Amino acid sequence: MSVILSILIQLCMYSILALGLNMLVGYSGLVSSATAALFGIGGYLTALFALHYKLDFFVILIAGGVFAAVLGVLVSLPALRLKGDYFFITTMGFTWIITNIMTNWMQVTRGPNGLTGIPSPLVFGQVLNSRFLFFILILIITALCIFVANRVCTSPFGRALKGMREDDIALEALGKNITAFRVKTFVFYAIYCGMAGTIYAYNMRFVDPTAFTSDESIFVLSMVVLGGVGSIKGTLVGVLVLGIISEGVRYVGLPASIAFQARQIIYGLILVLFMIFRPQGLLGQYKIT
Amino acid sequence: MKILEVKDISKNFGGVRALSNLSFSLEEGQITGLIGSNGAGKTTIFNVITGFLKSDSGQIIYKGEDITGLAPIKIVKKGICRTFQELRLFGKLSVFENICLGIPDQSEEKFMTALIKPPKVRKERAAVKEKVEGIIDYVGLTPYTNYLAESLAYGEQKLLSLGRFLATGADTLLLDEPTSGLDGRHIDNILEVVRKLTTSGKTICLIEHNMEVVSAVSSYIYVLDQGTKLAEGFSKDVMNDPQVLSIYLGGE
Repeated sequence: MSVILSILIQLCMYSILALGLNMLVGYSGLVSSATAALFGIGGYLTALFALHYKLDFFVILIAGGVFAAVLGVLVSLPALRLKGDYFFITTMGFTWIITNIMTNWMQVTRGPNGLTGIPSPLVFGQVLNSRFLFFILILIITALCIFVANRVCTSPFGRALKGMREDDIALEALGKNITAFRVKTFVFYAIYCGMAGTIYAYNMRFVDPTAFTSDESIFVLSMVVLGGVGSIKGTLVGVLVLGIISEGVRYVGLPASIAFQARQIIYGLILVLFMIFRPQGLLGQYKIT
Repeated sequence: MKILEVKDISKNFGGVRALSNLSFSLEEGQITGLIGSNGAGKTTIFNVITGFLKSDSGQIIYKGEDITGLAPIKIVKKGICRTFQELRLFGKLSVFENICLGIPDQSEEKFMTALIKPPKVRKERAAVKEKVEGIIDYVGLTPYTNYLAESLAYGEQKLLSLGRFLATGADTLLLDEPTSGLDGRHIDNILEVVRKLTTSGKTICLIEHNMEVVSAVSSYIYVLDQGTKLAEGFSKDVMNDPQVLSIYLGGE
């Protein structure tokens, strides 16, 4: 039971990550590789707060999101004026910096050993020991995240973002401030990633640098691409398909020594096939450019 | 009355002199034509006026105010808007959505307002819808309201690009080859809209290759060649200027 709950919580967490990334990739047309770094910032911040201070879960959740957003924007602000390769490379650099800090700042992050012994979350002053209740809490948060993403994307704000994805110069010529739109979507994405980090830390009860590498960024990007860039339903389907395959492979009895590699080969293969036969993803309308 | 004045604008790209001390002006409520062969600097001057390119020297004065070097969005807010020769429509959005994106200052384009949706936005949305439908009707695209922009025929796409810029409410429209690549019937459609615009008080500057089109609608014409002004005058005079005919039409 505990295993299933843990997988379900992971799926919720990936949904939040993928929704954040879809907002950026699918709506404003920026491809970021900083997902894992922002996710890691949320995770580490949560671990540190939970270990050293008795703070409420929601306070930490919001702090994780906000802190990820502030750091992310500071680093990527110069790149947000640009598009395409420049932005991607800057976010990659950001990921390396964050991974290095996680691995080497021994006094705070305890380096490769990671931070262990994260206590059960404190929700409105009560310690939440039940895994099931924790799952329900995460489910509600995920539903709220889906609601917010959907509401924003279907509004005139979302329409302007779609315009930006189609042709940013034309949108600028119409008098819209495209840098402001880019910064806002990046903040949205970073907040979602940071919050997912909080969920990860409380679910796993420990954080270490290996959980937040570029592989994780690519895994989340794969979910968005597989489901369909620019589609919220598609993103959730992508999370389900890749999440279930990735977790499922663990339980089909492959020897432990090759289980991880097998998982990567399978989802790598799925991505290759999709790029060839259905580049717009399962439910998407757009191809990634 | 002069609404826009271009004064001694120069622009170099590396060693290439794209514009050289170019000066001209637009009269309020009139259609002014800019003609010239490829490389004469027509699109470059549009890019300089609208802030997409910075000039090396010179000034742009709009309604008596120096707007040289302002960012493109500030220039749109001042009331100057341009179309692109290659249209740059939002292909995967509908005709309706394309025009919506031209409407300025929509509060729901702000993230928090989009999220909270206060009651007042319903009224604003209705107002935007009415305005957009009015513009779609104005350019004659009502039957295509919900079509994706990319699915329209080229002539309709040109009309949509005009409509989208009308939506910005700008007083001065810079049109970059609005009739290029069109056949006779579609050219007439576009010209009809362009003429209608001046009757509603808009100032228009038109870049064209097609001499007939320019002389049919423009009241005043500037002829550009290699980044400088070769000639200017009322449409019929310019059309008969031997120097213009020689350069522009390649005649002897």
